Amino acid sequence: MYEMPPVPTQSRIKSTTDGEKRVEELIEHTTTQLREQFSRLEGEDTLEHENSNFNLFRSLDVDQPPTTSKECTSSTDNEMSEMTTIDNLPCEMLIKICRMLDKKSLKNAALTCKLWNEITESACRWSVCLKDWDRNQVNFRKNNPWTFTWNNLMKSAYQWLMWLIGWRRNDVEVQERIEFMLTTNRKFCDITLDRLSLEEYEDIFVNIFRRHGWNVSKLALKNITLRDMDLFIEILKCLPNLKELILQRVEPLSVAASTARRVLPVFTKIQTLKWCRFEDRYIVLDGAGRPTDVYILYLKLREYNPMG
Amino acid sequence: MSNMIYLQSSDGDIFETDAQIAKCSGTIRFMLEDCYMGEYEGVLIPLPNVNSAILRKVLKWADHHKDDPVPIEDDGHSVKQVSVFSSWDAEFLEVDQGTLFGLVQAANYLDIQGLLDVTCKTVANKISGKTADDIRNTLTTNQNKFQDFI
Repeated sequence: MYEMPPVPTQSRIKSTTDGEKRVEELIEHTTTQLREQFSRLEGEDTLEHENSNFNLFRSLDVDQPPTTSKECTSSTDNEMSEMTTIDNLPCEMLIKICRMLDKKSLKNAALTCKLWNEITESACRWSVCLKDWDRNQVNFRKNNPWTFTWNNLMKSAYQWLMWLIGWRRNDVEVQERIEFMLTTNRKFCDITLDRLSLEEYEDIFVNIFRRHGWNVSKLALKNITLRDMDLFIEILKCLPNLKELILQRVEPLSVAASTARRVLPVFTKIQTLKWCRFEDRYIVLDGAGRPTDVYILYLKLREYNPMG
Repeated sequence: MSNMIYLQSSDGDIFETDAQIAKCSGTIRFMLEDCYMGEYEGVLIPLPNVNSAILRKVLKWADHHKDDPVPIEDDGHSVKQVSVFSSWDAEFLEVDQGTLFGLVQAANYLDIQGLLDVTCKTVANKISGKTADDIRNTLTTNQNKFQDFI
């Protein structure tokens, strides 16, 4: 596994003046010592690798040829075995530690080194929400604008207030996020689209999902108009590991039936399905893949019956 | 009744301890119950992965927490947040980093959930609120090692 370093005879010969016999003895002594040390280091190294998935720093140390003097090696050896650093901790422990960090510290931890970057990637589920606040007005109420309820009033008042204090997010930010999504290497498992028109950003979305699709296990669509079911299915095809699909206030309201009819038989991996507000009275869940958990929140039937 | 057992650290030191205290460690508990079939009076358990200094600390911690309720075993998916840290624990864990990481390692090896939680939380507290450079400086004694991996 490791090459034996050349035995440093020079220094030994200089330091001893007793004659050739003494020198030979010394050489033999040091070589046996070195051999012992190496076999021990090798043993330790393989053992460490079995215990923890990585021990990069430790193996680096081993690569350096040990010094010849006996006292010196033994002291560093002791130091190494006594002093436990963060590098000695197994991967699971580091992941556990990472899970206890808040978001900001996690970002900093990811910046420290490659190893920690990978650990933070695996320790957490990154999620992203692409949200367009400006579409607030365009979206839902247009179906039945005369439902001037207290609830709606409160909502518009809230939006107004948010706008006044400058909380309104503009298109630029959405664009920035989309740019980020198209370039980042971060693995997102959880993507939320809120108040975005899939048709408007069609190519971009297909690109984003082609890039991140493999990692995504949860997709949520909120306040979205799905005119083009084929596009939706095209996007879903990019997400082979999707396990959870959430449709919340997705128009047209018959989307539940079409997802049940067209999506579920094809995407058999989906385990959890959440619908919020749809108009179908009953849905047939059929086909090979049947989600194990289905949540249906059917709120305010009368308000969402614009056909009448 | 007191069942005394003996624990041998990697340095060869032997510690005498009550079996009830030592049983907070899942590893030791399984060993006592499975290997010795419950008759473990005076047995010697070698712990080759834990050195004397760390084992002494672990036993001190276990002794203090011997009356704690047994934690309910969850499925491992939910990350339990340890928000409350007793002041004794906080004081107990005011140690140098070598000892702290040694304790994490020992708690992992000995399978002591409570100790693992508090030690990991302490490490997390050391990390949180720091910039990447600060983390690098605090957590490594030898900075050059880290820089190889940036």
